[in-house]
Amino acid sequence: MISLRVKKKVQNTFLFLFAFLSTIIAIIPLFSIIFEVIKNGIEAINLDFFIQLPGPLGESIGGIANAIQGTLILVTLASIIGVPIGVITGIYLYEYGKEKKSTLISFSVDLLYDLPSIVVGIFVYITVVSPMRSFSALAGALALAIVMIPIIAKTTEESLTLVPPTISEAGIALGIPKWKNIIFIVLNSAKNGVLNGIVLAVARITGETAPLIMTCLGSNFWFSGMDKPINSLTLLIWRYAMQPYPSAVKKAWGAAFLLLLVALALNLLVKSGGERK
Amino acid sequence: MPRLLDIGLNELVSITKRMSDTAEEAISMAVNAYFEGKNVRDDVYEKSMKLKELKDEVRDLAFELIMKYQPVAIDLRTIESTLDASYGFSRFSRYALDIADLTNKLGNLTECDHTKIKHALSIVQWMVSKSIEAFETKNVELAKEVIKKDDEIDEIYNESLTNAAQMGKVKDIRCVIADILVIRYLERIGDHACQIASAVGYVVEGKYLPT
Amino acid sequence: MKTKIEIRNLNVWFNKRQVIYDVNLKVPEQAITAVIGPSGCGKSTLLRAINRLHDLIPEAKVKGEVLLDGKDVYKEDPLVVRRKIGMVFQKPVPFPSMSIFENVAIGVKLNDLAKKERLEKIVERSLRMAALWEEVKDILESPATSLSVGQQQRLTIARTLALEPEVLLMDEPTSALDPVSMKKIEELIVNLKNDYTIVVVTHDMRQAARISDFTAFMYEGKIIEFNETSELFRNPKEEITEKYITGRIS
Repeated sequence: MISLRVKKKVQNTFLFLFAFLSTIIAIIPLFSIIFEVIKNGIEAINLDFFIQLPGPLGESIGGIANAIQGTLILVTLASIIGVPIGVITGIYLYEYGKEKKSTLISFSVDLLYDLPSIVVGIFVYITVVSPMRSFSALAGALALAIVMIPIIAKTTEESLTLVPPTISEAGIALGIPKWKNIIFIVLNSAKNGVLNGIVLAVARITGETAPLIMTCLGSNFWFSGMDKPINSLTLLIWRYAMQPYPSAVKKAWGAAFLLLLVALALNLLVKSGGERK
Repeated sequence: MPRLLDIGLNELVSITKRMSDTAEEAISMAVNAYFEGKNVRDDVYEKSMKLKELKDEVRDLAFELIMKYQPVAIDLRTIESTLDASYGFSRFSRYALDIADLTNKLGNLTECDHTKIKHALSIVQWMVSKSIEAFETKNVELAKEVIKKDDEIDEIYNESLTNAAQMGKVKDIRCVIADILVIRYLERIGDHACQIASAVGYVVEGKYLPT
Repeated sequence: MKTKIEIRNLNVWFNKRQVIYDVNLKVPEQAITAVIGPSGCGKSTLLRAINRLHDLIPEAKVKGEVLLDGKDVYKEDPLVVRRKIGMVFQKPVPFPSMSIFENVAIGVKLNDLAKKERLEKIVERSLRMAALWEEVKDILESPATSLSVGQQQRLTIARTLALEPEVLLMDEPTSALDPVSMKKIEELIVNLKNDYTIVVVTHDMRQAARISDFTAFMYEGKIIEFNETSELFRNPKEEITEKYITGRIS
């Protein structure tokens, strides 16, 4: 007859080991990915990598400069469109989301949030690329913006909701109009959360590929106009990763490594932003 | 569940009851001894000291309750009037002592005509007992009756004073002096009984009954 | 005494359930009026009906009149009403993302009531009135959340005072505070009554007895009794009042 104490100790230890091992198993793929990317990507990093165009496929020289430029342009443009719309939508949902008249908007935002990004790409293809008869940076930016908006709207709404209602009440009691209260008091109090949401959305679209495939196509050249095709890091990886040319594959690994660094940097930004509160 | 304050208030009631009993006893003892010529001064003095002790106890307890519980409304008024009443009871015994002292100081007074005093006494004893009852039962009507009786005592006092001033030669001057003094003491006892009765109105209705 | 606020036939419903029944009350000017009563009797609801906070709650319905100096606040611009009638809440809520200075100035700033140059003067004056200036004058730029809870409550009072209201509504202003802070705030409130009409909702009867000139007792949504504080606490007229203040019902 084992004593109760011993039994409990055994149970505790067993559960702890089980949890520990499960965690290790979950983390292993993540670490192996990071490991592979670093291992293969580091080789590709040199100065040329950053400043040179890729040149024809299979060329062993060249870099991914236009892809870097392209990603920067697309993300910036998408943010200029997506962030204001997303934040305003988030504010609207915070203030009116529960009312009957807003069910359509609220539902649409939820739907858009879950929409596969490739569908967004197809949509923009049909509505922008087709009529323009050209793949374009504009279309790519639009597609990314559409992906961003529901993310930012949701995180903004959640951050605003997390602000204690007593703060909103205190603002109103000061005799300021409702809109000023929402923006200068409540939003102000939630700004860390809102900014975090924006950073996360930016990180997300930086790594998006599907919407760009059907909208900006990719290119081997520098940015040449909003109405022309444009390259991006993700498009480059998509194109080069499965090529038979080792130089292409190398560039793809390099690009992957760069994306990993960007993701890391953005996540660190979010973490430090969270502590600034 | 009784409030914490109620425990203290009940204690206050029981001390006050002891005081009122002792005061009544002191008055009877002193007056009976007056009629019988006995010297009970020491016994009455003892009761008087007891009452002084109890009065201090009441005061201590009252202020402790105020400090602890910050009573309001009827609780506060009850405590206030209990302090008033305890003073009244201690005065009862003071005058009882004065009466007991008379036999001491003036000698044997059994031969004097005590009819008037006996009449005054019965009124005052009624007033004392009923004022105590009104106070304990918070009976405003009874209190009002006690206050009404005070006029009678005042009348008897004024009467005996006027009569004594008009008397010519008397058989025993000591009787006259003792008479007046006793009636005076009884009148004072009656006054205090009135004040106790007046406080009943304060407890129940928030206003002292007019005396 | 002159009446600053007169409440006439006030009735309030939440989701069709009535919580305030036909309240009539005259709040005297430049005095402290306390509103006491058991939890849920409607005292906070009553307070919030005065500065129209119920406007923001769609489930709330208010009927009746609240006259400020003779004019019904429900017929005036609610923003102006709320500037004239300030409110301090139970939980000290300094705005977390702002400094001490910004907290005090924000009401004035957002209402466009003063130019930048005057803000410093206004902030200092308000903090002095709230008995907080000496403690914070050197740290005005630090976050408001770095203050102790008692100081934070005084900060919210300063914030309200910066708008130069005529009336101060206080909803259990010391419930969340330790006894020392509570005492400081009580002293502050009593000092303020010379310049403001103050209404304090409190569940602490002793506090009402300590600081108020007039007391209203509410029970189940009705005003049962209203009188000078010393009179109400020594000689209440209604039985329920007596039962409540002597602790026989809660």
